[in-house]
Amino acid sequence: VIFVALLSATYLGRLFGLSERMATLIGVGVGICGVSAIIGTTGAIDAKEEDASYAIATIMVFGAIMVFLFPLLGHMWGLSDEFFGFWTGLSLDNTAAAVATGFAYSEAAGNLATVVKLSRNALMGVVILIIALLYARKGLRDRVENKAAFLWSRFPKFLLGFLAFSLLATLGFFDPGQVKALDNMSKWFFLLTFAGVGLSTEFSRMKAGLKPFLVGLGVETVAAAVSYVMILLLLGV
Amino acid sequence: LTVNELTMRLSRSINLGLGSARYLPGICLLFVVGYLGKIVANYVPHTEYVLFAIAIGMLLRNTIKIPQIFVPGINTYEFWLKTGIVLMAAAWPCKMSFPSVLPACCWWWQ
Repeated sequence: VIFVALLSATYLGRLFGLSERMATLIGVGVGICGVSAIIGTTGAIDAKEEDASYAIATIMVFGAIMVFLFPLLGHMWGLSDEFFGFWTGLSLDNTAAAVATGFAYSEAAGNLATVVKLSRNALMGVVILIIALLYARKGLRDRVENKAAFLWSRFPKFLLGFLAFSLLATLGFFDPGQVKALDNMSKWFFLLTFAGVGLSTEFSRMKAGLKPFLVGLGVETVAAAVSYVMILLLLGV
Repeated sequence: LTVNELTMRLSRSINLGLGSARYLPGICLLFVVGYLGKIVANYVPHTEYVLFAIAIGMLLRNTIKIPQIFVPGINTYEFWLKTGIVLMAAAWPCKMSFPSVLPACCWWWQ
């Protein structure tokens, strides 16, 4: 999905005459995990901050639209929680939007969407490194000195917390009461998150106009379609 | 770790504590908007509150100018997302059957 998104962003971007860096940014945003991926890549390919800010606004608006659109499609097509969770986790760009969309369908779908999205996030560093190396080869940025440090600096650290907690829980470290309490706490934190997603979505910030939006839309549609087919093949439903 | 470094870190974390007060208004707003979403969802059958929380938030953001005092707190939502995900992991083993996640892992790590 990631590579498809990147390729189609570059292609569509060229079609619409966007700068290559901008196209790469939007592609990465849609392909991996939205805002944080864009910020990570901005540094890696030395893009302009302005480009990044527009790209982020576009991704946010997109996420907000998908939160409403995906469950609608899901109910229309009668998708199972499992299918919907995979689909959302694979095709939505922004982690917050993916989690929100999953939970907008059902709790089971939300849990699955989150986990699937997290495993994509874990790969973010690798993709950014490859892009940085490609740009370096083209002479568009400085060389990458230490690849391991580069990867580590882009690894989402909270995933370590996630892994640690699931390991502890699997080992039976928490009693059922504690699990319930932590789960409740997590639900309240998600409530704050969802409100924040809405409050951070500003339509007028997409100043760059229609073109980047259309490129994003094209990429997102391709990503959603590709992951839909992929899940069909994978789950054999 | 020298004493000097330690004092520096200590004073930095104290500053952090004092500075965190500025996040409060925005976090309260997040809570109000989210809870409002929950209330509205109670009146509309077959919907999840998520949609309403986001819709109300977007409505606010795009119709009125959010006072500056709320902005730092609103921006903390990614922190709540990450913390929520980490805590969710505690309840994860009993909620999700391992086989359902396995295909995803195989696919991405192959």
